[in-house]
Amino acid sequence: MLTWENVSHDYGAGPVLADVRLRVSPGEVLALTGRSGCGKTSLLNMAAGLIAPLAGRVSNTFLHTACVFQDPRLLPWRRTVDNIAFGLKAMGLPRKERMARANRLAERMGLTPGDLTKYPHALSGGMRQRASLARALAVKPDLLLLDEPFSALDVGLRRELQDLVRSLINERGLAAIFVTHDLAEAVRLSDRIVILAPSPGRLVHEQRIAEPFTDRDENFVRRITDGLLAAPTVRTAFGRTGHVPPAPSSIRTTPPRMQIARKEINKVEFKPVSLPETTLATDMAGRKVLVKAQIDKVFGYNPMVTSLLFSLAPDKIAGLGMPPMPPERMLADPEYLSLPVLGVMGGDFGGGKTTFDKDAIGQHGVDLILSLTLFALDEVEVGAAERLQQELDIPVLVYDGDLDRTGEVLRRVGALVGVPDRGNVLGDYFDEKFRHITKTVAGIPQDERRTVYYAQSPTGLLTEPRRSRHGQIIEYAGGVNAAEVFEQRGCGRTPVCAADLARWDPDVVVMLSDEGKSPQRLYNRLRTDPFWSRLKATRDNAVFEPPAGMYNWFDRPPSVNRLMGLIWLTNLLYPEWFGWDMIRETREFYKLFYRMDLGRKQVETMLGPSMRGLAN
Amino acid sequence: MARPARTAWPRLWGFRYPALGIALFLGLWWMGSHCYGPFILPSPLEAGRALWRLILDGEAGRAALVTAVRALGGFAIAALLGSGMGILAGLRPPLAQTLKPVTAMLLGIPPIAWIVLAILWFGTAGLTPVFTVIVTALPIVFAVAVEGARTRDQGLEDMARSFGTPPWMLFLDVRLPHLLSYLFPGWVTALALSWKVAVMAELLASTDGIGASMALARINLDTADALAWVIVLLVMLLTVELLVLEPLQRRMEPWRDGTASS
Repeated sequence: MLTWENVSHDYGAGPVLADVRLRVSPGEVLALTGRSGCGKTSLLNMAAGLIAPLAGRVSNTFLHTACVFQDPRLLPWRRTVDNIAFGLKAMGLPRKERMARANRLAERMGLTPGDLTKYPHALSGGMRQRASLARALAVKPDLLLLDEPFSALDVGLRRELQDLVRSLINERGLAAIFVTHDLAEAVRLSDRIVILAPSPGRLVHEQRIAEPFTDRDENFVRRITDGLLAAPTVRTAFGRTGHVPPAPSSIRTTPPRMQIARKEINKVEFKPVSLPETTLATDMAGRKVLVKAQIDKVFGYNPMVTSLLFSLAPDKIAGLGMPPMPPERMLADPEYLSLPVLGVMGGDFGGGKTTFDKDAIGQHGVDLILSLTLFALDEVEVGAAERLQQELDIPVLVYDGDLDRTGEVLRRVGALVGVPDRGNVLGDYFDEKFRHITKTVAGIPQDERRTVYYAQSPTGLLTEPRRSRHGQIIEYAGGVNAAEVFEQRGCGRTPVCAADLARWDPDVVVMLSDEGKSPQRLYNRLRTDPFWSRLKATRDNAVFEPPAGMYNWFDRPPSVNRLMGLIWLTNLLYPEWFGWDMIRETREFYKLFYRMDLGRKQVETMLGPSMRGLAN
Repeated sequence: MARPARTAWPRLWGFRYPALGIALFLGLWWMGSHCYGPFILPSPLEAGRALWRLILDGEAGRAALVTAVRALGGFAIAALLGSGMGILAGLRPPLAQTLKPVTAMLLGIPPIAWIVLAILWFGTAGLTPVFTVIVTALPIVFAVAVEGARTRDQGLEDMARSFGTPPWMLFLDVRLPHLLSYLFPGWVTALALSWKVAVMAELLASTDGIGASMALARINLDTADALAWVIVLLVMLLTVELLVLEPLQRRMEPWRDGTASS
């Protein structure tokens, strides 16, 4: 139990807290809320033992207390996994045990193996906060103190982390104290809300919320928040003089399909109509959407999703995005090739060339539409999904298309479409290879890294710059993407200037001719072109066309085959560090992901052109 | 995974411009010796020959060892004392304020003045160069250590304390890496200065070491020998800098690499 007994405090510039009395019992989730300057953080710091009150007493009988701060406060000189294990090290656990515990927890928190070997500055804000949460949970606390842990995150991420934290708290039966200035967040997450008023900080209102966490939807949160703000003491504590609080961004949880079905019941009059059994699915933007329990037809925004589905459950693909390309025709079975072409679309996929055939999608009885984002999962992507869902009456789920989250996507989509075991097998295989690669790459000294340029048709002066998702294999493979320009949103293909390319003079060029439709075209041109033949990579014979089988290994579409692309590129860039047996890796991958037994010769042909002119 | 065998050629290729600079310098030197004659400026060949003779005699090795012991020994003492005191002072503001005017004064006194004082105090023994190195290097290291300790991140320390971190771990895992990012540049500066000061002190107040040998070359009007000693000194300086300090820094601060593992 944690109690503040008649606590007062003062930092030297007037009283901050005056006679605060408060108690938290085991397993209770308390939210401390109020305007800034009302002393909520001071109360929390006292609970953490970081400051002592000037008057009164704070007693904490919980065994372990752990803190999560507003900023992640990770040690910049330690890798993420060591940061997560920091509290365990302080407890004196041996290294092996704390690494095992940190790895387990990181997975639960949605951190990928790739993230774990990075230093904190290379992580995104959301990932850093996850690491900070994992660090707190690693010490198995029975009291968790959270100081505005979500306020630095953007909307989609915030919701996702809130759900995660609350479910972790429930799972472990922890007591927790949230400090937040967002009343809606307090209502959504806590069992008891305590509202403080500033100068000096004092308790003005207290309310219990009995509703189980999972039943709190937007309407409920809004109703309770409005109810709280109706009390004059609360309104003054928040400094609001009458105006209505901004509505939390609404995310619909019931698709209109239900409403239509209900209307039909009315029309058919008393004839029983069986409604499909549904479950609630959460996507990576934190949106909760009702989907059918038995899913038979899935369609994707773009070929990335098609490839994901082809590896997980080929019989559930509702249709293709584009007519099959040569690599697909080479390997796919007739059933795949005869699937209807339903068009592509995405937030801004294909440079806005949306060819989505909405009528056809309706006719083919699609149960679910998936999106894998080519950009950070942001409000643009979420907005596009929402609009599409509204228009088509088909649930739309959004997943992160980042390469290092592919394992997680495989597992989650596998579970969603009813093949959880296969999702786990593929996801684990992906993560294991990926972890091995990132670990090895992390050991390659900076001065041995090679610069890589990604050239695309027609001129070769279209690229995907540093930090773009289309070209991200380069960075994960330990190469330095030579192109340092702003990425063009849409379908990518950012133009660069020939003078810049000559200045970057990359060690290696990876080129893709006509999105993989006519391999070698660009390559043949480069060899004779006076400008290109001056480049170091051309002179060194370090120009490579990525192999393709079903889908290109490197990009276009950035599919699950990118794992092979990663192996292929690490093999080209750092053969001394990776002892890949390319033939074996390729056969293993195609066997596992596509159930295809490729012959040795077949693999050699597939790899053939790219093995030409092996660098050094 | 086996460590890779480094391919040497691309690494050497990266040194082509520095090599050009060195060649240019040698060319100028040669021309100069042609214009002024071997007495004023012996050619690089003659200097090289003198150097070879000194190496064969064992004289170069002996003198270099003596000077290295003095410079590095003095530097080590200064680095230890300066870092320790600096960190303490940075953590205790009153101490920093007390010591600040003292170090400011020490920094202001030119090394040559210290040499004079040291000769008066210690005579022409080996102690003079060591002492001079210590008093010139100490204030530099002290100043950066104070700055490093003063700018520590309170947020990280609060985080560490909230986990009940033991004091040794708080120091090693939280404070020291930050301190090192300040200390390293300071150590490099102080080390470079140590060499120069050690040789200067030897020249004026010692009977052995590179400095004393240079004084001898001056008395004998042997310019080739003097140049040979300069080369010995340069080689030692670069060796320590490139083979010890730089790899050490890279090893201790891998997180500084912008794209270390992305």
